[in-house]
Amino acid sequence: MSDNRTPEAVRATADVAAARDNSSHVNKLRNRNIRNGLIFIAPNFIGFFVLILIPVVTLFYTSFTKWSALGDPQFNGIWNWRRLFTDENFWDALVNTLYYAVVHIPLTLALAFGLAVLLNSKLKGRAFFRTVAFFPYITAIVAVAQVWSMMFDPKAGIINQFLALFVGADHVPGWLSSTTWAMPAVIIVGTWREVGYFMILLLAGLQTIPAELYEAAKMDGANAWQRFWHVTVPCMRPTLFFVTVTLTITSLKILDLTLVMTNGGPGTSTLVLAQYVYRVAFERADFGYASTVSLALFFICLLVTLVQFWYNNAKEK
Amino acid sequence: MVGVRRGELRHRLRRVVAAVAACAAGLSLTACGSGGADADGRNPDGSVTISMAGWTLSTRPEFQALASAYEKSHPKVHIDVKEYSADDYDKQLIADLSAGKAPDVFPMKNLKMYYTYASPGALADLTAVAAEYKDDANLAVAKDYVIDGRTYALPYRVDATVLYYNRTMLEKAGVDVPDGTWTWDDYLAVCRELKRKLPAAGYKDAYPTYHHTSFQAIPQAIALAQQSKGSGVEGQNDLFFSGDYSYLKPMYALFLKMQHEELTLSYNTVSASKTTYQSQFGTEKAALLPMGTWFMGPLADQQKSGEANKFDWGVAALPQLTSATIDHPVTYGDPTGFAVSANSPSAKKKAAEDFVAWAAGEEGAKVTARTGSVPAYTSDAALDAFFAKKGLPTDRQSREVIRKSVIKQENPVGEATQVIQDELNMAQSSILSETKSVDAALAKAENAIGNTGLLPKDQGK
Repeated sequence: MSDNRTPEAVRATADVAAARDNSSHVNKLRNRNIRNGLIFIAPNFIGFFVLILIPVVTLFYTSFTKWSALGDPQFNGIWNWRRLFTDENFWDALVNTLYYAVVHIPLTLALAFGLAVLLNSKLKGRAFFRTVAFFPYITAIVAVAQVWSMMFDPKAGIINQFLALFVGADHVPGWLSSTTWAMPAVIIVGTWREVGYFMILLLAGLQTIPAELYEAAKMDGANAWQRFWHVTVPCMRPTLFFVTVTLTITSLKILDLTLVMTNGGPGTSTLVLAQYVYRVAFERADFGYASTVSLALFFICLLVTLVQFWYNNAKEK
Repeated sequence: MVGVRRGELRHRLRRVVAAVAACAAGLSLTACGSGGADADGRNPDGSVTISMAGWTLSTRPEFQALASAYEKSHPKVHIDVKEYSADDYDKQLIADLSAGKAPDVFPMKNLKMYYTYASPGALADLTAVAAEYKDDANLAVAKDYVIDGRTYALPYRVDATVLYYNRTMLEKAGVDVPDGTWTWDDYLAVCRELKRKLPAAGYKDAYPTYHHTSFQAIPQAIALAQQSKGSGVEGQNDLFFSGDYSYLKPMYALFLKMQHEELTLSYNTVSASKTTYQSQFGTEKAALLPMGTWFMGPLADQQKSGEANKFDWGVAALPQLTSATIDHPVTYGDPTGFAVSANSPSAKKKAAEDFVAWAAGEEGAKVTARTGSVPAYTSDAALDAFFAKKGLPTDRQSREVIRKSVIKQENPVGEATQVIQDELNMAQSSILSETKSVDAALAKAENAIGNTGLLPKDQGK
């Protein structure tokens, strides 16, 4: 049997075959990449799935039940949610959490940014100062809270002894024993502890800004403030966005500091949402209602983060 | 080539999976088999091994002592004591119970969580075992564990709150030591007298008394015990679950007055500096101390080791609201008991129940007493064993106070117990830190408690 196809036709057939070969090769490669990719993320994803996703999904169900963690949860409809809206402790905790977040976030951000800019310059001994600023973050929280509690002691604490020099011993704040001053005290410790960590993140961002931009701005006659505002800040937008989102979420979830320093007191003046969840679950064995409160916290975090994403996207356009 | 590799890979993968499965199977076998016991939980040699929970075993010798003493008189039973954290005991136990891995015997640390454990059927019904002690006045405290006529735990320890006094300080100041007939008014008058006289006696920084208000029971459980009607649990339950907490007001008025007059450390100082009652009383910073009898053994030990100063001390009945109750002074204290897991296999359950009954009785009481804890069974022999410890007061009043007192519950048992206690705890913080008035703080707590719908009146009970 002879091949009576034209040479063009033969070439075309060969091209098609080669293309098919090639595409099957590409497919194989893609499959293999997907498989390898899945294998690489598997350890993390399995952990996330088992320890976070399943419990979170279960939480949606338990928030509609009455459950003491022993026996099976009993479905009780929207009772928990109705209870949430008339629960004075929940609203107290929400207000306290927002108070902490609204003061703590800008304060930490401003201080961390300021420190990062300062420690990005050619300062003498900056490695030492960077270490010093980061140090509180790696110190055990319980130890930190205990030492600060001693420093905040209204009578014997070093802070009030110092303040008394200026305002007199009768006018010093009661700190952890006063409803007015307990939250500021917690915010001071929280800010002191976290500034170093966010400074390191911002410092990493600062180091990616090309020096040419500053040089060009300088040539155009921009002063230091203009260079900061028109070069540093716009270039830092992605890092600042990431830092703000992380900082917001950690602020809304604050628990450890208040737990050790004040245990929510005096009264409910430093009771935050995460601690209220813990209290309802473990002090009262009311895991159903605790799920409801924690879902409320989850939705608040979600809402705030979505607003931040939306704002960032709008600005980037 | 690829095919070969893939085959090899698959083969290897299978081997890994098989190994992991074998490990998992092995682990689960060792977890539930405990040395090859049969379905009833009996070992091949006919003996039974039961597990028992305890906390901080190094400083709380009672668990191991009870286990060893029981093993000695019951050679066919072995008891493995499992260590739990003292602070997170209930959290760990709930996790183990809900995972079906709880020990066969576990203590009920207090009555606060008892209802939570008993109501979903996690605890074995011990009503038949408890019947043995039904008419035994020495174990009167067993009634605290009755829920709707059924018993799910038996006490082995009990503590009553009494008034500790530093005889050395009082005598040096020239003030009479408590004789067990004081009302709270007498107590206030003595504290004022001490405030005047202590500095001249050489105790310049000392306070007349110390109220350990980090414990909400001081003064809340005192008020509940002394204001409720009768000597049984019914009057107390009626008051506690009524949703009206105005019965706390007189005690708060007294406590606030005393902290204003600096007769005791203020709540703010206690909570900010995390003051311990051991150091306040043990280092003679306070001459009086209302506290549980659990402190007697440790105080004697601390005086021996030099952690506490050396001074002469004793305990007297807690001051009363009126002199009407001084013959049988009313105080509070929760029993500590043992419960049995409802899910243990039959042979283990039987052995566990027998152990719990033994620990509640006189034999167990003697063992508990020798470790420095007050036994729930208050016969002469058991109390002799307790007071035989070196360093404890030997006067008649100190010895009799436990038996003479009417001990009411710190935590009345019911579904709302934990919520009520947690809300009242927050109220205590507001009241004694003086951030809210007594009325406002109690109104807030009442509102929050009512809001949960857990009170008997809201459930149509």
